[in-house]
Amino acid sequence: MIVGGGPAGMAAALEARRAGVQVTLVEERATLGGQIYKQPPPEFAVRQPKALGKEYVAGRVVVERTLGSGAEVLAGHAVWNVWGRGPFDVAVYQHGGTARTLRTEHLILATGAYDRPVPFPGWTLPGVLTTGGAQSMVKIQQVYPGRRILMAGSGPLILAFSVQLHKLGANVVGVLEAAPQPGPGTVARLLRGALGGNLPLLREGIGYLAYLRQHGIPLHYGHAIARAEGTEQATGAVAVQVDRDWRPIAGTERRFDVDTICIGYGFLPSLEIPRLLGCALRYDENQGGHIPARDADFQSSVPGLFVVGDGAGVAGSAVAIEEGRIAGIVVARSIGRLDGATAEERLGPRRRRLAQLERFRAALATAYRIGPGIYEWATDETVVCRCEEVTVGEVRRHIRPGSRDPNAVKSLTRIGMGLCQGHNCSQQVSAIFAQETGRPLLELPPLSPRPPVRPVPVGLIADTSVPEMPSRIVRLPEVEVGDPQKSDVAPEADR
Amino acid sequence: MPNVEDRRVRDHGAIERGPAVSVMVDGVPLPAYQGETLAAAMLAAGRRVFRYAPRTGSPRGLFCGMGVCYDCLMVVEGRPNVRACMTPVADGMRAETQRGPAEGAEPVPAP
Repeated sequence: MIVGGGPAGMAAALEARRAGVQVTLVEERATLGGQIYKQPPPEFAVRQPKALGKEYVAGRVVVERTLGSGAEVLAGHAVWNVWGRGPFDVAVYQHGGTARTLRTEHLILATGAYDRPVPFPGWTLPGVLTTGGAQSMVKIQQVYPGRRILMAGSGPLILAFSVQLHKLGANVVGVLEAAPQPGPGTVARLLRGALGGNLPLLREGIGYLAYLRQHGIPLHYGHAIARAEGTEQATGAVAVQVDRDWRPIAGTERRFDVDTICIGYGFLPSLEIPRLLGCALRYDENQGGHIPARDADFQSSVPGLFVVGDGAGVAGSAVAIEEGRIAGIVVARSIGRLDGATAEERLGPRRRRLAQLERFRAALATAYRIGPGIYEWATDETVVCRCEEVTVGEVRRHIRPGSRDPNAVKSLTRIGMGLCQGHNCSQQVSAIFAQETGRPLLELPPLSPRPPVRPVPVGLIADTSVPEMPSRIVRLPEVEVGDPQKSDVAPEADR
Repeated sequence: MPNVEDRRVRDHGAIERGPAVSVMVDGVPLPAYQGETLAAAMLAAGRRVFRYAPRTGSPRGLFCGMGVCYDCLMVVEGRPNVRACMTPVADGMRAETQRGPAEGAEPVPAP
């Protein structure tokens, strides 16, 4: 079973099907493709596929192959829990439909990533959105999110998105790139990394820069978003110069007359399912922080559980595809559908391609690492938990110097307990915790995941065959608050 | 129909939209096209405030556009906390700006 129908999930499905393995592919959206291969709604007719970009065109091909591969594709089905450890019981529900549990010996997770939420003053105002959100809205829904757009982010993707949006007619008035202008050392590293099969990627990047220059769209290196202004919605943006660690430099603010701010500071993996299953984690800031530890076959610390693609660590779609393919081949081999020799034949080129891609990614990571100062853009008044409306200041006030675990703050303030289940706030909360306690980020456990990992109506998952249970009243003994002697007393049940 | 602005991409004809429909937002009809999400129809009409958050009353709109941030919530056909970015429009669909904590949810029957 594969959870996630983006590039990694579909690649795994295709390799598994190629070896004759029975595959069920679960995707929570109505269409396959994930983010990069996003497909327009079926009611829209695509007259000029090329105008939607090469990812759309490539994506169409893969989506169609997957649908025709003989895999059982469950689109519109969300996974809300996973029980067991081989076999795995995967609880899914369909929007407006039914819920059921599917059992599988081998589980490949390819749940992808989402735009990094970056708290800064005014970030909750309508008009502030992620580059992914802007891209979906303009490219797929064909609607502009606002009249004048400031792009604020870092790395090749902020360039790519800026150009793409502008080509689709969006009024992009400027781009803020947090990293400094690449110096000769960086350029040399990028060139070296680009050799051996990655030149097209580098050429693309150069093309984007040329496009922006050609169209008079200013690119401000070493600048980041300081705040969004407005009351009902964004009516202006203030940018600030930042140092090499992305820390704001006082006295360098400049205002932009825009109504829309797109933030593109990388992505974070969607990790709820691997974490529910207790996968061991490691820390890599540039791949999105805590990510599952995996062996060379992309199997996690939980046997039978593979995690591939951006959902295992953000490395882009080319890497996602290779990882998906490898996991698909390895699962086929482990259930005896492929002999060792054939499996190796198929795995070899994938591993070589991955090594090639890794060289470029490593070069990019040095040039476009996430600056630690990103966590200092929020002030005490800035809302960090968007769902429960908890500010940075409120979080700070609940952290004691000796604390080891951000989950205590969760219990005290409700951060991470809202509908988004910590997607928006956990990274920043960990950073605040690190600042307050002096513990490095990589040592702090992320917020504990709890099922359901998607909001699911109780009526859909309640087992109505179970008869009404008589209620048991449990009377707790009276205890004085803070009395250590009495705190261990167990409650007595009323008989 | 009141004169609503239209922020749809009209130029390049790469995509042909589905049939035109109408959605009611806070009792006001907004033009939409089959296949669009409620969020798209709202943004196309220049309506960027989808709800007011319960604790602080702060205006919220589209943030992630992919269904993970749960900020674009509206009351749709009487159901609160519906993600507008994940909800395809239907002709005559009724949506309201969500204000405060969820109202209109079905009451839990007494034990």
